[in-house]
Amino acid sequence: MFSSIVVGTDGSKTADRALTRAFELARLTGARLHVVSAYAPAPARVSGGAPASEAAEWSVGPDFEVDAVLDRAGGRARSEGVEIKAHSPKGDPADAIVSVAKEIDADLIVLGSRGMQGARRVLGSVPNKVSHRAPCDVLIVHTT
Amino acid sequence: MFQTIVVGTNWSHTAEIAFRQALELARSNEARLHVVTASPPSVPPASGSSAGASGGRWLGPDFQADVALERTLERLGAGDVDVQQHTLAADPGDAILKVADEVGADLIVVGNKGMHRRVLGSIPNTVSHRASCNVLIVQTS
Repeated sequence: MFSSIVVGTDGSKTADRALTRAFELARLTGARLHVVSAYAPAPARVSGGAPASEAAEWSVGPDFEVDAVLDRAGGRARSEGVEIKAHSPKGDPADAIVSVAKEIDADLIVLGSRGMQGARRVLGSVPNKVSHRAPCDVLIVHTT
Repeated sequence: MFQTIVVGTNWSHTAEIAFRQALELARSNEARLHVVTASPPSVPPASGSSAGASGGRWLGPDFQADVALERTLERLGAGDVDVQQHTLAADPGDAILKVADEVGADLIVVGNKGMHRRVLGSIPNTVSHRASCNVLIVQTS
């Protein structure tokens, strides 16, 4: 049914529920599971300090958090008996998820319904954007 | 994982891609599958105009949907799946959401385009924004 699944996470509770579903689906279908956690480059410093690009590169910032999120997802996956491949691309989360899905030729993307960045709408901006651009099926996991 | 699955279809070839996916999920989860076919509410003809001017535009009557379901299940060899048919005179997106609420669905399966409207994504869009359960948007293009 599915052989290659991509799930997006930002470490939030809503994303955890999407992960749980993705683990179940991977087990049910024997699909390979790719976990994507994107990070935005650290904001540039306005005055003083190193030039923006250098500051972003050296700050203990979003990429560090993303690694922690992916480590935790990996730990959960192992305890559920699922093998995952972690991806931590830089950039907009929706774009990153769609681009990983294309790259690995995924047949399913799994996402939480709430905005992964605290959007207040019923359907978050990330699942909304992904569902319009996905190259494959999209499962929006309801997370209220 | 899923126990009650709702799928919307207008029995087009495109919609069947989503229907097959729903069928497979229902089978592998031993879930009950609720099939929703919607036809827009019939508009009474304006006085003086001839009735039935729009006849045949919509797959309206229940029996047509029943026949379509029976034939499709037979063709796909899906006699083993627990299927229940719902035919509603409503907007397809509304119909899917209504049935999903009524049966306490834990998954809605929709195609990513087509159905009765030609506007790309209108039904999956409505459903994904308003659903109170999981939604699988199947790539049918």
